[in-house]
Amino acid sequence: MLILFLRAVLLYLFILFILRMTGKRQIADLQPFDLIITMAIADLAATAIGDVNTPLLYSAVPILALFLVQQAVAGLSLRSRRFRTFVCGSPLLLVREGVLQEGLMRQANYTVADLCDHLRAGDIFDMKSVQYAILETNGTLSVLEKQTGDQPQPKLSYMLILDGEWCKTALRHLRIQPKPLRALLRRYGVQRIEDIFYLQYLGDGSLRLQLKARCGAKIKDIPKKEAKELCS
Amino acid sequence: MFIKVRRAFTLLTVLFLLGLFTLPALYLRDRCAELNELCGQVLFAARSGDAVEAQRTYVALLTQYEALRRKAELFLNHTVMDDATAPLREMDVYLKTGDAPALEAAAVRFRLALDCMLAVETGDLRLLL
Repeated sequence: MLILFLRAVLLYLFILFILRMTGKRQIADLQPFDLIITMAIADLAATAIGDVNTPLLYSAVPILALFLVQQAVAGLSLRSRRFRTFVCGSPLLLVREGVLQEGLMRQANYTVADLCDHLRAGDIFDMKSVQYAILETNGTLSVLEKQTGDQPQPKLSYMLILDGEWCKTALRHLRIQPKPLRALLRRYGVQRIEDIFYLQYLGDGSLRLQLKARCGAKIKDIPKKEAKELCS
Repeated sequence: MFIKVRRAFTLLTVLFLLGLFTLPALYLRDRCAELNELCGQVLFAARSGDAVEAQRTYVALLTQYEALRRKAELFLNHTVMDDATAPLREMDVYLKTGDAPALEAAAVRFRLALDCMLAVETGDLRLLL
């Protein structure tokens, strides 16, 4: 019995360490590959704790293997957006300017009832007050509510450049051509797209960019007036 | 700091796993070869009717096996080890009763169990699926 107790304690400490090494994502928001490792580790540990005929290494080695795979997947996801999209998927805009996007909801196997559930969980009880709803890659729903009264309705922000790469879907959606955007960025002292950590098109029509750390991590705001010229 | 610790841990994990993939297999391969040889000597002595020599070699075989078992239990499933222990104990009984065919059969089972042990540890691809 003491052995069982000690095995459980040992495995608990080992798993705690492994989960800590894999990053905070394990606890906060589970991506598919995070979910796999968490479930598999739990199962491996449960098997090892109870069976004293099996050496602890029989569980430790697969757990370490899963840790290495998770590190590789996380590393590749950081380096390649395409790989990240393949592994995690991409966020889906389920409600656009108050209109439910039926095709996207079908793509995500998401029913209106599911949407209502999530909205209610966020204290929103009617569709009328939803301007935008985005189904995030970790399964949570982010909602941008409509403004009441005569105030202008909020607009969604879009990433135009992420980690030195164009976000083509957003550019297409906003009908922004890379060429004039490049010219605008040059006017603000940015010569290379690769130097940009992110460039966001804000809801009010202005742009905000941050350079990569190697370029000083400077933040630049481009006013609405100049950004407006980009949208054709 | 955390990133450095994680990188170091990842590197150590890779080294640890590489060590685990090679060192126990090498150890088992050598010890199993010795055990196989000793098992052959027990059978040879028994066949030639030298009971004293057979018993003496058997004791050496058992001692070697127990030494292997103590270490192998750290990295091998205990049921795999039990599969080898049982026929080895039977060999002692058949040596004392002089039952040659049963002794041969027990020796075959012992050798098969050793092969199975080796296959588990040396990464035999047949066990993959």
